[in-house]
Amino acid sequence: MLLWGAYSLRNLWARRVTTAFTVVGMGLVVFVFLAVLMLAHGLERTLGKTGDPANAILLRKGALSEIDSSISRDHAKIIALQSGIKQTLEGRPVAVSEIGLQLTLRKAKERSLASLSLRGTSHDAFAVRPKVRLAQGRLWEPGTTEIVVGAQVAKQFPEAGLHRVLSFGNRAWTVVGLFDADGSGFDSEVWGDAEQFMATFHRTAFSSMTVRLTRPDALVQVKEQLERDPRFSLSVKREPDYYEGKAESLAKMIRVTGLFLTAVFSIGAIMGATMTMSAAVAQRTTEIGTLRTLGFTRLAILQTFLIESMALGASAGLLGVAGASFLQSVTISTVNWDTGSEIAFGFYLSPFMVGLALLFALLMSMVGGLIPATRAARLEIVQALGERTV
Amino acid sequence: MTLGRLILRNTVRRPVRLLLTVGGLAMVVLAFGLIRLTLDQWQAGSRAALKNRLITVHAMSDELRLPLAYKDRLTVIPGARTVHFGAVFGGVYQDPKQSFGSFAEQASTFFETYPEVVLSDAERLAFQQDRRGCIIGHRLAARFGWKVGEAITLKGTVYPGDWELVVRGIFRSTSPNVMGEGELYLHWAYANERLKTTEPDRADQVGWFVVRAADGINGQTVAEAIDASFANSSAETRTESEQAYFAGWVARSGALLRGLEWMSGIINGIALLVLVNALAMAVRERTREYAVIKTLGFQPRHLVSLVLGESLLLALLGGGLGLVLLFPAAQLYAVMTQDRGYVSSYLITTETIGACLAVMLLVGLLAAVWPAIRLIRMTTLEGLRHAG
Amino acid sequence: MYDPVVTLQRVSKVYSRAGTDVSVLRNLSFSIPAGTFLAIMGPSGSGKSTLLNLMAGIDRPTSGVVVVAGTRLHELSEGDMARWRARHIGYVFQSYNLIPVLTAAENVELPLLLTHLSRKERTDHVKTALRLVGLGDRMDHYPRQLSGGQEQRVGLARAIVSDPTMILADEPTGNLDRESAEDILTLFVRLNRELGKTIVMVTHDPRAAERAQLIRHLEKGVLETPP
Ligand SMILES: Nc1ncnc2c1ncn2[C@@H]1O[C@H](COP(=O)(O)OP(=O)(O)O)[C@@H](O)[C@H]1O
Ligand SMILES: [Mg+2]
Repeated sequence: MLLWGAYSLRNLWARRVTTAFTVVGMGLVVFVFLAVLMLAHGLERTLGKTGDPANAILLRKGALSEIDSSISRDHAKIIALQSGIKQTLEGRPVAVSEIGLQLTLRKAKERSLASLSLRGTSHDAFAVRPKVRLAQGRLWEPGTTEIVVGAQVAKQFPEAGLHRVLSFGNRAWTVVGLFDADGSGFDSEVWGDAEQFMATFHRTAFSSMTVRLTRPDALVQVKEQLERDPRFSLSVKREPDYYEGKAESLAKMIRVTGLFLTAVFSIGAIMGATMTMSAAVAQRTTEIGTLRTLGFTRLAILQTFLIESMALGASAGLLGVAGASFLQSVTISTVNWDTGSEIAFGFYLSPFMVGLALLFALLMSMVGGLIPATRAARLEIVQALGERTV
Repeated sequence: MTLGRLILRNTVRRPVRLLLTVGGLAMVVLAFGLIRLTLDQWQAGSRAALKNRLITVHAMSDELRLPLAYKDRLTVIPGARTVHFGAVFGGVYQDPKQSFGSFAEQASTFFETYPEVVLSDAERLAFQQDRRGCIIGHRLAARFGWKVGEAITLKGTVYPGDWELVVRGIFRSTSPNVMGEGELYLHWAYANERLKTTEPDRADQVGWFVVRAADGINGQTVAEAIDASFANSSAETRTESEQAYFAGWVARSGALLRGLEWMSGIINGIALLVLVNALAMAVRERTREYAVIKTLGFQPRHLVSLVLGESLLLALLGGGLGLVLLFPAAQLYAVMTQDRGYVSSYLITTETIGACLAVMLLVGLLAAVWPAIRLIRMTTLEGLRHAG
Repeated sequence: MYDPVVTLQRVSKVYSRAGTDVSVLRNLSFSIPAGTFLAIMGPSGSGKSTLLNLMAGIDRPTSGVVVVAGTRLHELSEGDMARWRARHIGYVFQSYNLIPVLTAAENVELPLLLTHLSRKERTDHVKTALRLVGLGDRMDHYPRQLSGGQEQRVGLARAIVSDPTMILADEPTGNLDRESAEDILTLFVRLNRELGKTIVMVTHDPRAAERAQLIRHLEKGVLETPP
């Protein structure tokens, strides 16, 4: 029936000021809801992208992170020759022994302390992780204190930009290149020569090894062999699995806090929608009586008001999504509570989340419209024509 | 009768709308209050921390440790009263996902350094005398159902191996934001001893020193003296008051704090819209009445005070209800975010309450602006013709 | 005392809507002596309400001068006009226009809030006014608890409670049954005769107009004395 479409929309337009307030209010709720999802997802995506399923990472057994882990140089040499690990045409293993460290730095702009992730590695790191590529400048010269930094480091720490010099451990470190790690967590790292870092941090052992597998499913074999070997006492994990769990606290905090709060104030918005629709019903009581006299059913009246309410919700949903889509270019850099080091991640929007947000908006408006619409449908004709209710 | 009574009657005129407006505002205030609470609690640690308790860590990196040998040099720094030290122990009980903080501390100086710990003398003694003893916060005890005297086995991450510990005391804290009640403390000496055999390279190192400056001595001076004495050594130190140290950690989460602040701003926007909407509807319905009042000789400012009064009344009712709901909601919220490590307790402070009320006052003021302008602009004649 | 209470000099009112000008009042000049009970009659749309509103200071003429109670209304600002209105005008509406959330007494008290009277004095005035219109026993009733005629009597009490210079009434009996209308008209006559109030009443009902001292017809924007 024509009643539902044009009639509802015209009524919304007739009350456009109230309509606008309601839509913007609910739109803000949708915006926050989506922003929370986007941020949590962005963080997980950054971590999920870190590492390659064709790689395995080796840590000391029992160590939860690279900080607690150690692998001696001698062991590293033997481990690299393990079968199941890929080799180059010349027969060199595609593996890299690394030391993960943290550097305390005072951010020049905010004057606050931050921890930068340092990765002492070798040029083999780029062979093991083909998605990471040099974007500007050049690689470090082995045996020197030259370093290269990830894209996010350069952005968040201007003092660690290309050609800048950092000093720590009584030595000067020159940034000679920038690398792009395709939006992964490596973008928040500083890479340099492992031996130089070890000397500076008084370490004698590596903290981890990352190896490229001959085939992704060679992991089972490598894991079995290495974890059983009593010489090493190692644990072997697929590289992305390892990094994915690295920001659980942060992701949970964003999700739990964000969604709990969204749930609370969305109730506020639902009440706002109910109020708007109640006013609409009250204002049009006589009109409802007239329509019913003309032969429209109670169901038609109910539908009219529900559709009107959900049109509000749909507009709010679109508004919220439109607003949130602008967040996609925003990057947040904060401390990762699980590692203590700085991590940068963005707001990530997927079609699924857009759908979820729209559904959320429609649901809010439906719940908000239900009571007033039911009341409108229940009005007795004589009563509706005779007097104003509510 | 006064205009105040008219305001009151107008406000309660449509009970359904009143309920929805106040309820909607209350929910928004509730969410705002929870955010303030999170932010306040986050910062409460640094506010409650002691100024004369200094923390010395490795200057270059959070994860680097300092040699135990520094202890002797710290003891002779003028103004340093007690020198305590500790390290992250990183113990895991059964499931690594159910993490909690565990620390290896020098037992002999622990209680003197942290007077916040509330524990009977007998339990203190029992802990100090048992090398394998540990003390736990009552929240941790409740979480795993641990009792005094119970033997527990932790898997070490920082200190490798399985660790059998005996609970020697369950403590409370006079300042849960500084000394949490969900952590475990054991003897550093015990942890270090095993490390000497498993990983001798990492033995005899500590995560931090805690120096209590003597009464009447400026902590800052002592801190500077400490850092100066280790300058140009292989492990330079960074010494800050506990307060500055905590504040530094809070600042590292600055982006998240700003995110929460943004969110609270948006939330206030929602409150504003709900209230403006309610007022706009009310004013529109009563246009004719306002015109009659104008015909009687009332000034625009009288009309403004009618709208403003109603707006403030609604805002404060919503704010009040929101605050009442905040108490149970904070409990629920605490349970949901428990042991995530970023907030230790949800005590509703007067600051939180003040912030909520101040914001609602502001929302009440702002919400009245647009309806009031419409009323001022309305000519008496138009108003009298209004059908509403 | 102001005499004449109202003086209009070459007053015109032109409404322009959608580009076309509608001339409602044309060069109207007349005056109303103090103590007059004047009825203005005329067909619907002839400009009766417009004329009344000009005198009440809730509308302004396109040209010409309106002097009421010695004040040249066009010289007043919005705020001064409101203050002037509170002092000099009691207005009675066709549809009563009582504030639904206020009791009869409170409705009548409303204009007194603009005076410097004490609470006690206000209450006394309200009682007097309500007794005068015969509603001394309905003080605490809300408008919806009153009949149309009673509501209009409250409206009348509200118009006289602050003792204004002049009472203006726009179709005060338009919504009432014969009997209630008679009550209201009788009250107007009493107010005029006994208290010497100047009253201008707009009506299209000849029976109502008959109760006035003086009747004028407004037709095509011009005021005429009836034949
Ligand atoms: N605001 C306005 N805009 C345009 N025309 C108006 C306006 N107000 C009144 N009019 C017109 O002026 C004429 C006189 O109106 P009114 O004084 O209300 O007549 P009456 O009270 O005699 O019925 C009518 O034709 C009416 O349509
Ligand atoms: Mg008229």
